Amino acid sequence: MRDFFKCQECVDLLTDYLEGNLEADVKDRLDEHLSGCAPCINFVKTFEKSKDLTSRLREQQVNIPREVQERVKSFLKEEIVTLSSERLK
Amino acid sequence: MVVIMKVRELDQRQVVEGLKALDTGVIDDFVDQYSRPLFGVILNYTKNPSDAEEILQDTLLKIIKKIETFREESDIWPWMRRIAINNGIMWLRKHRAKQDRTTHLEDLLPKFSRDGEFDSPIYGWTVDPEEVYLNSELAGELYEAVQSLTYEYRVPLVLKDIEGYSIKQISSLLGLKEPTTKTRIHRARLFVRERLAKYFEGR
Ligand SMILES: [Zn+2]
Repeated sequence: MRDFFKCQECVDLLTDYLEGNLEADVKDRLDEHLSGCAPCINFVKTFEKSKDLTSRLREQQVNIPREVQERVKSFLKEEIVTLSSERLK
Repeated sequence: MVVIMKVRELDQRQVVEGLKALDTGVIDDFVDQYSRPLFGVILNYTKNPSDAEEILQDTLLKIIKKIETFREESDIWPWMRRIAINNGIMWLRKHRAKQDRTTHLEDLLPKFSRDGEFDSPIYGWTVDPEEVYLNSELAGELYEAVQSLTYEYRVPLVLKDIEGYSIKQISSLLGLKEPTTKTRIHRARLFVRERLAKYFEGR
């Protein structure tokens, strides 16, 4: 007889579970636990939601201080002088 | 009199030709247009603004120097973004030693009783469909959660869940074994979930 998974084991396996990396036998046992465990069902849903929300940070804009942009521009101007003179050689 | 400075929007062809020609006017506009999103990408690798500035300078210079190798039929933004990511990672590999170690990850991982059950109740989240497009409060909370991870956890998470890289790619970029990368991503996800749970349950 095989052991039933505990909540902790399910949580440990979640990333592999969601990426589809679990062996069939392990996945079955996890599904079996999930089918009867309300806290784990909530955990899986919120874990996935959290992951989806994180991926949206990709579109998140941060502020860049005006001075930083200005310093970057003058840094590049100096570098361009060097690059241009190298090209002339 | 108020003067509103309007940033001139360059199209991709103008950027590419201007950078190739080392046209300083175009380069200024290019900085106005791209330094902000690039700065955002770079801040995922270092939280220190002056380090981020240094990486940004280096990234922009690399973009200018490498523009000849850019394939013009492809989209320029992902190409620039990749240069920023690689620069961020290179910087981290060089400066790893002086990085912060302030998060106590353990404090925010889920707790279990001795028989492996959750120590405290796990609630569902009611997320409005509207909120799927991050409102600014939620986005701020999430950004803070990710930023509060130490780089060992933050960088693999960012590369996986924000940049969409594979475990294999991340492992080779960071010089980690694949199981280590996977464990770090998993724990970072647990940490972020826990922080968001506090946010959703607390409002
Ligand atoms: Zn359970």
